[in-house]
Amino acid sequence: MRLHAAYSVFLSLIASTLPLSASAGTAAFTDPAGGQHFIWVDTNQHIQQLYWNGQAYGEQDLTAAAGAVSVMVGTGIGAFVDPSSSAQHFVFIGSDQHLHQIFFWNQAWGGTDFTNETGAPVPATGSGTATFIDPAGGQHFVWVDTNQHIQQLYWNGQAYGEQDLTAAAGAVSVMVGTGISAFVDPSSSAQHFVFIGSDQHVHQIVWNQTWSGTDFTAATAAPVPAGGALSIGGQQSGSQLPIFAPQSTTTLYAACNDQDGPIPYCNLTLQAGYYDNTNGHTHTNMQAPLSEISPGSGRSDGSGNLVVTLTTTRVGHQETIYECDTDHNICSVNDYLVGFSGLVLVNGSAQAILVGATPYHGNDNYYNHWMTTNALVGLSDTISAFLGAHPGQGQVALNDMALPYGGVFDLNRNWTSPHVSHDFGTAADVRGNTAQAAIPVSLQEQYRQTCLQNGAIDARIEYATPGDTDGYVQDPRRHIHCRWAY
Amino acid sequence: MRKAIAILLAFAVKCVSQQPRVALSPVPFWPKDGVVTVEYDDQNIFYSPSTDELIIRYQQQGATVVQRIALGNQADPDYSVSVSRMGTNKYSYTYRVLNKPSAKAPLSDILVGLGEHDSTLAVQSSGAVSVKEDHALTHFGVPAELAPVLVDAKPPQPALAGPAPDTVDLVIQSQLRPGFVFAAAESVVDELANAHALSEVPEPLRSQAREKINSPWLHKQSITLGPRFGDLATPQAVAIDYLTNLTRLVRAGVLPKDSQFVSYITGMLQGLVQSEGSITIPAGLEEVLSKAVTPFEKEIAAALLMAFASN
Repeated sequence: MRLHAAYSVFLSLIASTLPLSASAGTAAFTDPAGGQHFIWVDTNQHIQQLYWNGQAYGEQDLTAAAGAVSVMVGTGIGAFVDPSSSAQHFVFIGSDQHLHQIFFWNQAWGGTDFTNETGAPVPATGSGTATFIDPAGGQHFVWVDTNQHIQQLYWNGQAYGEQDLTAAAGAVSVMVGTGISAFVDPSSSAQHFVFIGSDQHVHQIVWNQTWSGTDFTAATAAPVPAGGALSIGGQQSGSQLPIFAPQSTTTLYAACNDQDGPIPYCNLTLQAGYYDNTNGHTHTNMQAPLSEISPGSGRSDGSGNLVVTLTTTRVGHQETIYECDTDHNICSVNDYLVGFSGLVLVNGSAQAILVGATPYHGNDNYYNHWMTTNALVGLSDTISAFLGAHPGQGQVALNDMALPYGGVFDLNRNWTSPHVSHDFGTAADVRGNTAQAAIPVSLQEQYRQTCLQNGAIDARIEYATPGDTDGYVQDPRRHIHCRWAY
Repeated sequence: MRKAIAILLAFAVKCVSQQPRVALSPVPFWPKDGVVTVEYDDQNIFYSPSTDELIIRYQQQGATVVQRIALGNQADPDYSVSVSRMGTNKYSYTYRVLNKPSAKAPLSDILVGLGEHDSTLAVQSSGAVSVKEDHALTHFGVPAELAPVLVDAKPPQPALAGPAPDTVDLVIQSQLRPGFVFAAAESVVDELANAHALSEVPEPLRSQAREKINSPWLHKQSITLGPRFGDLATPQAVAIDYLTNLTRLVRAGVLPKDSQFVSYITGMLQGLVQSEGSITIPAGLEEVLSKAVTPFEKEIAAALLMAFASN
């Protein structure tokens, strides 16, 4: 659920005292007296409520009021008012990974641990929640379990019922990390449960005296939900280590320290080294070029600092500076990465398979499919548009993009790159030979043009054989290369 | 109160606590006597290792202003982990973290980064515990392969007027196979004081200081054993990850260079990597436990066996 624009105005006014959790969901309802309720999760993972009675705002920490557990990070909240009792219900996944509700009824706050009380399946850590009341007054509480199935509890005033709606409807499982919503259609009393499937299609499960399902994306050819033809793989390159760009120069400060601080005039040595097998470089046939730390030795000054300069090479991988205080014979390792932070792993899809893994670079398509988010959006849009215009193609095959931190992509395992435009995560190749999902020669120019129409600053059909420009030689290395500016 | 980061070394506590300590920093070290010499007169941001503060120094209305931002590497944790199998495709990681008497501040959080997302994750702690899916991306500048998900465990609530608890017990049950992951402890610092100090700093210096606060080299960082590899991790990827981190541990002096155990498993894992996918179980894997001598080597050996068991 997204923060409604109208709510965001006043929520921003109180942000200094009631900060929103980074991953907070929101909920809202109108109570029988006409009061408007706006609900969110704060940075302490407490449920907060603002209500507007037409004249003034009131604010409450519902978690504190009910003595409830805090909300699990990354989960949604649901809320409704039961017209039969005027009770207000607030449903959430607790930090104990149980489904809970807080309720306000008869002027008192209370809570229910549904998971404990009913033994229902445990929610997934990133589960959304949804709630509604059916025309018979039954209360419905909906979540996603750890198998990514939609589960429902309903309360008819006397007993709980529990159902696995995914199993009942024979539906696909829910895509990890996505929300759910649910409603009842007053005209038919049909209950609808809407979700993003693991196939990246929008689906609904419907109860209308029998269970059924609809794949909206397939049925309507509506746009594929978030991610388009491709999705980000849930990982981003980088680490807790410092990261320095390839071919960059950085000033650093070395020191020997005692309990009072840096020791003046201390003798130090520094040496750079690198780790084998990092950033997808699984070839060790020849030494990689080494970044330089300069000077390699010296005395700290009167303030205790030895100023040094680190100059990196074009190779992206994990390196270290081995630093020794030679007066006290104490050394330390200072690991860092050379590369570009912020590249994201590209996931394949039904429309775009990942290919091109080689033994020299991890032997796994994990290592050669990293991009900037801007380039990924451009590529995804390109593929969607191209396949939309040429439905017979069905899918494309994505070959090399960049290594996880970028830097030299040395196809020939020699630490130099024939592939220089792949150093930055801004370029992607698609197959143009005769292998699976390759774009045929007759459509390659259209694909190239589609890249340019979707923001690429360079797009070309490339051949391994010099002079092979007639477009009809079945060169096994033939591909279409598109590059974005950043 | 804000929790600041004091990264702990699971099995390298001795390295961290050694004094004097040789260090590398992205900003100059703050001199012992607090007197900035002429060669650093144009510098605004310093690091004080003795007080674990970022020190921001600037001119305002003709006067030199000095603001101090506590980073909070003040916990001195003693930390242990054991890994066991819980039936098919499920592992239990048990951590005990004791803040030693020499600590300058109480523990506020223990953080363990998972190698991947895990929908079956279950966590239990002696205090409150939560799973933070996005935390790593924003808080540490640690996206990625080492910690896309953080488990955050707090010490138990102190008794009224009692001392702050000094131990955190954490159990993580996960389907992720064991490998080396990021782990950290946070100690308590005064967030209000930090916020006040930062708010006084003019832009763009304030933004520069914020960036330096998150600089990894200003926090003691290391690795420990934890939930690391999902079903899709290839044997080669597992081997590469172990090799890289074993190299780190040797270079850091945590594992001795002449350890026969390290030599044995390094050769074994390199053999798998160099097989270019033709073998999926390292040759000689069944021998690793017998090669391990120290308790830590035995933990690594046990983890390695479990990491390859599903392949």
